[in-house]
Amino acid sequence: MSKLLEIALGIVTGIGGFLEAGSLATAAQAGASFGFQLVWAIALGAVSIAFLVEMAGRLAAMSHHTLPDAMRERFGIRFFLLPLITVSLVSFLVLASEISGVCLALQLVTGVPLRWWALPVAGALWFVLWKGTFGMVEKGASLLGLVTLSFVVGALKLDPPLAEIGANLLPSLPAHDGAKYWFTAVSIIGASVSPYLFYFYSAGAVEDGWDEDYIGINRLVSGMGMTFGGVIAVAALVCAALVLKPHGIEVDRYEQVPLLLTSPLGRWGFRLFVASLAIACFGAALEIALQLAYLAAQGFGWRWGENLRPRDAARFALVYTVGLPLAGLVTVLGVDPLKLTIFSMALTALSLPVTVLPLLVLMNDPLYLGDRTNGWVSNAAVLAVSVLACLVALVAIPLQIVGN
Amino acid sequence: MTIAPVVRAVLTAALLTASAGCNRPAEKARKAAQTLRSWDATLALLEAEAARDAVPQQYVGQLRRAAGEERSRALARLRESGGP
Repeated sequence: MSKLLEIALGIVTGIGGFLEAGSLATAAQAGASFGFQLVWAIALGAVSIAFLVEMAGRLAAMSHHTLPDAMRERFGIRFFLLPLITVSLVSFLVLASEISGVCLALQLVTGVPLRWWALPVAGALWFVLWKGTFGMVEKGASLLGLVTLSFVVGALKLDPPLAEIGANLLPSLPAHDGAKYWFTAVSIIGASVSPYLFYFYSAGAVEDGWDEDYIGINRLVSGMGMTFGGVIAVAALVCAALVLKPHGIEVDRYEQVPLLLTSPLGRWGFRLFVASLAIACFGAALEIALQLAYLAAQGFGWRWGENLRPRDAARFALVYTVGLPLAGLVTVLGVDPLKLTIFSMALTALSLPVTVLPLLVLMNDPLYLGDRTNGWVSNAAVLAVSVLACLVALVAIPLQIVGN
Repeated sequence: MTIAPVVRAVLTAALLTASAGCNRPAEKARKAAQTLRSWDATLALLEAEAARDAVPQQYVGQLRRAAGEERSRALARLRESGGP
């Protein structure tokens, strides 16, 4: 019974934690500009992250190593610095965009400009991490994040053409704005396959003391949590495609996005949108700040653990104590939150080979996985998505920058 | 084939396409006009939503301001590119 409860809770937290600033912004832009045509990118991202999260959990359960810990041990500290710097840089940008998402939600409600909220929000995040436990961060935020299911309710109220949406699960070439199409596609994939998700998951599995008995739970939780979570992102895209696209509205500012839910749900739609944005971004920011601390502490062999008192893992706590206000400063400096979010996601896609390939090597090493090494399907799927997303990002990012 | 030539080819293709395709004044004007139309439509939808009391006045003001800023930028780009 307790295992069933654990599975249910794991799936629910996967669903509740899926949507954040990146997946919401990219889905809204995709739906507004290209209708249902980019549903395939969300599906591809959701399946890829399900594979990656499952691998990170399996590695933790079989070897009792977190991902950075195993990487440093297997490849040596000099190689480890490459993923360490890459993941830290990308995660920092994503953290900044999540903080700006929370600030925007507060701006929408109060009218106080978002830059004034950045440092108080960073302070609130720090307070939760300083005082909270791992369970509170992981489960609490994700359970509250179930409010993002309001996008599914909104999409259903708009009476979506399910056959057409299903048909777009297969990729197709764009009829217009090719550079923007591919840039949006890689941003969606970057938003879904964010390294913080599987790094955080592996640390969580070790914090929770997983062993080989958890292999089945891990598979169910990662597979169902992530793929159902993807449904919420598809719902946001559907809302944008049915509300904004018919009017010829493209998403250039976050302030346009609440219209996705006000059309189908009225005043409640506005309230639910603000709650979804604030909770989803706050939860994601907590996980990313914690993941930055895990990454540094596990990589350099410091004492770590969100369940430890900060004074018992001082350097671990120092990382998020410094990282959060720095990430908040990005919003204070007036960087456009939507542009920051979208470019963070595209850079995430660009960095995928650096973050994913070492994981694949580990997942094929019997010294860590015993007889639970990867099969060829998961190797091929994750490798193909990472390399393709990186190559497309390499072309699409300069095009998008030059083309404004 | 090693990775380096592949990466070099992709980068070259990206830069060539970018420099050839994205700096044309006509293309800039088309994008600026599209942005203007998009913001006009945003304001129309906002007014419709406000009329049926689906959005708070606080938000209406914020989106109007955002629309004003973005329309000004788009108009400036349109003028720069020699558009109407």
